[in-house]
Amino acid sequence: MAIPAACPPAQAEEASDTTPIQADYRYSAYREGSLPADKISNRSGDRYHVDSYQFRLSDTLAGTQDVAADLVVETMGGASPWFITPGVSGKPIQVLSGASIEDRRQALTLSDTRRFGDGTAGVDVNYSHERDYRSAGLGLSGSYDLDHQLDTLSAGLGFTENTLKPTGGDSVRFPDRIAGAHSHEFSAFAGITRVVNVNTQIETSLNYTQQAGYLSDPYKLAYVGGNLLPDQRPDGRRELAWLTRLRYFVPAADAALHLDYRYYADDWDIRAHTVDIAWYQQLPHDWLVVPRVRWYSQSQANFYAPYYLAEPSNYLISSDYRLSPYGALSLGAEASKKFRGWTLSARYENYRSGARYSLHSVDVQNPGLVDFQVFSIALKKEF
Amino acid sequence: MRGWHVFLAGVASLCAPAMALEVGQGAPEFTAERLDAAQPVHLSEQHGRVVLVDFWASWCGPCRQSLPLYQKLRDSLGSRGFSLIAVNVDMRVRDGQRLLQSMQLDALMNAAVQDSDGKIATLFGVQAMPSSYLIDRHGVVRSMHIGFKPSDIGALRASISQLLDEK
Amino acid sequence: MKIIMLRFSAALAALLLAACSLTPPAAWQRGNLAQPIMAWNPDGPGAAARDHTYISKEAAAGGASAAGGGCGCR
Repeated sequence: MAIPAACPPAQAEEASDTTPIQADYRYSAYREGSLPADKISNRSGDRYHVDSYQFRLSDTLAGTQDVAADLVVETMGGASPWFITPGVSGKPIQVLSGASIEDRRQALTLSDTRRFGDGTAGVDVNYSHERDYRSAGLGLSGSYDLDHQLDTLSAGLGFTENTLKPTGGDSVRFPDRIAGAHSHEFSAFAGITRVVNVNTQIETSLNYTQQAGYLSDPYKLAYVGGNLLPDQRPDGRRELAWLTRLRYFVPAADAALHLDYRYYADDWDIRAHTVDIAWYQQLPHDWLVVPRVRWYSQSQANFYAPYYLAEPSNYLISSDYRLSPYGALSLGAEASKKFRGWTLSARYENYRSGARYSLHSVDVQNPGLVDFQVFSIALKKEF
Repeated sequence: MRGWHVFLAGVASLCAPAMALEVGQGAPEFTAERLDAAQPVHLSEQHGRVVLVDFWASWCGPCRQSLPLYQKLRDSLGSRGFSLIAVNVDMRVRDGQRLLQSMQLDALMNAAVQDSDGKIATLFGVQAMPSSYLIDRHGVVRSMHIGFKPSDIGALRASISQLLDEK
Repeated sequence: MKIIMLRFSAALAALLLAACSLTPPAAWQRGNLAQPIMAWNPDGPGAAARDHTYISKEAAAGGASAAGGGCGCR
């Protein structure tokens, strides 16, 4: 969205009057680990899988205008957490939905950013479509350089409209499932970037989001005193994310350290920390190796419980693990090689979640916490 | 931290040599080594010619767009008395040489000089990359330009032509 | 786990302080900052794929895209 902070590498094959067009392709395979038998009631603990195909075309026009088009096509399917039962001696058991039919998602994002002297202004539109969900959004952003490009201020606004038409809504099989719903989202961000010294730059930004409408999960139920009731979350959510990023070049190693920290807080009482550390190691013959570690920890939503003995007075119920207290640790690595204007790369990530990774002690770990692996390959070409 | 920056900037501006050049001033004399050979280049040697002193680096995107267009200017206006001095500020001279080779701009090599310690850039008070200074036949700076877009070349050609017509 | 995180945060703070030699670079000294591996997002589609996965699987979301840094070229 923003004009790239770093200039592209000097890999041009021949003298050209314009910057090259860049094309990217990436395939990612996302596979969730099966849940162990002692955590589920289903015969199989197999979960979700996603195959993702990304395409990107980007170019700089007249040296002042960055344009890009991103297309994502995904196929996904598998079993998802459906509801949790108290189980024997109060140790909660996850019941998975049966394997869903293969679903497909397509999303397109177009962006255009122009430079005007020391400032930039940009717009982006995005549209996403899958069988039961549609989303359309618009974003505006701008930046301004101060002090001979040592400081940069940036800010932006965004608006997204979502429409949900759950499969099997209002049907004989799922009479309690809603037939359709809307929600929308408004967001704003502001950030400062500072070049600290010859090898260091740092950026900090605040991102505020306000959601309104139907925010529950129509496919999930919660156990309430022997009954199974539909997932019911508040119809509003206000979120604040504070992200700070450091990029530190190490000349002796010809490598760069990336350090990202994000603090998240919302009015559902969830507080989360995310630390992402990566080491970009350049090697001879245009090889690049990037080991990465990511740690995540969140507290629970105030209305969350794995199961309920009685209906809460505010009627809000959800046993979705994504609102439960837990932490996660992810280890990954990427290797890439450049040759004659092409870049080929492969990436692997192993993500594990659990109470043991959480910053705070967790009384009851949600049995539906997810472990996953991602294997991804990408191809990039400059024309 | 903010206060420290202001203080250090203040100290630095007191210690630094003459600040940014101004139009109408005489261009500072300098000597630099050619990028491809250990041969010195003196700005004073260009007296009587119209000179474009351009500061560029391998890591600077707009610079890479400008270099082939500057070579075209040399091709068409060189015989009328136009000279280019392309000052490379790469910390490693090798990076600048490699860029010219990979862009097949070997013809530009004899106009490129190295300034890896930034002494000439400091002398000219370069504020942003790229920066170019147009100097007339009498050694006076007539215009300065920060940044580069391909559409800038038309106005630059016109300015150079005008200065070439001056006596 | 918590002790490890506290020690880690302290090390992080120390690293940040060490990185802060407070001499901002001159315009011609921004070569290291301009390196592709120093970009906020060296791999746009890759970062987008990762972010999308985390947003779908975790409660936290958001992290604005900011501009600036790098070569500061015009």
